Amino acid sequence: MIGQKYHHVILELPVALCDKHLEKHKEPFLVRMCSGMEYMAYPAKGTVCRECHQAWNPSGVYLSRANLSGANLSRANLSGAYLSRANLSRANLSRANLSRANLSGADLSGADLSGANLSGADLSRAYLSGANLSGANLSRAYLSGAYLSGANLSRAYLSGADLFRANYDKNTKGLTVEQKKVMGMKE
Amino acid sequence: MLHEITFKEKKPDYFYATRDDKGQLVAVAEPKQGEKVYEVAIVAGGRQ
Repeated sequence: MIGQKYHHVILELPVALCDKHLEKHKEPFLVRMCSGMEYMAYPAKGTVCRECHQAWNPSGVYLSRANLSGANLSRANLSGAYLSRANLSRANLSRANLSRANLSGADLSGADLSGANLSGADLSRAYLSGANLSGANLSRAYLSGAYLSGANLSRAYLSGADLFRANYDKNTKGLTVEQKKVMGMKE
Repeated sequence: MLHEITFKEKKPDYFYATRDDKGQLVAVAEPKQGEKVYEVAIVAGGRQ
């Protein structure tokens, strides 16, 4: 995906705050992490205050069916995020932490997932056509029924990954013969 | 609600954005004078 142009789409998330910090943040604000990841925070009353605990990490967020097409989420920590059926086509997720994320049925066509941590992620029926997964960690990932036509899996770590009935074609790069056998398809 | 302004000049520790035709919030790196943009304070989130 070299040369791919990504929009700078900003994630918009509610953040739980205590009464004191709700008073301080009367309007939405931008949280910028050291890694460069940022998201728009909408203050909401909660029992656990993110500011008191300095817990700004958006891991575990619920973004099912979200439209993040073309978004720049490079190095984002989305560990455990719920991204089922989200549109992440052409998104930049290089070196993002998506461990244990639910990406079932997500559209990741043309996405840059190079070097991403997808260990234990649910990628069942995800559409990964043309995605760049080079160097990604897919250990123990669930890829059953995923579409991998034209995907680049070179140097991807697939130990313990479930590839049963995943779909690939002659343009899929980086799969071993053994992995193709597991997929139960012929080239 | 996000605070929309008519852009005059950049403030330190503020972020500028607009919405595209899909309703997505998109960063505006260099807002133009007179452009309608959202002006939002930045909070440092520390390490992940």
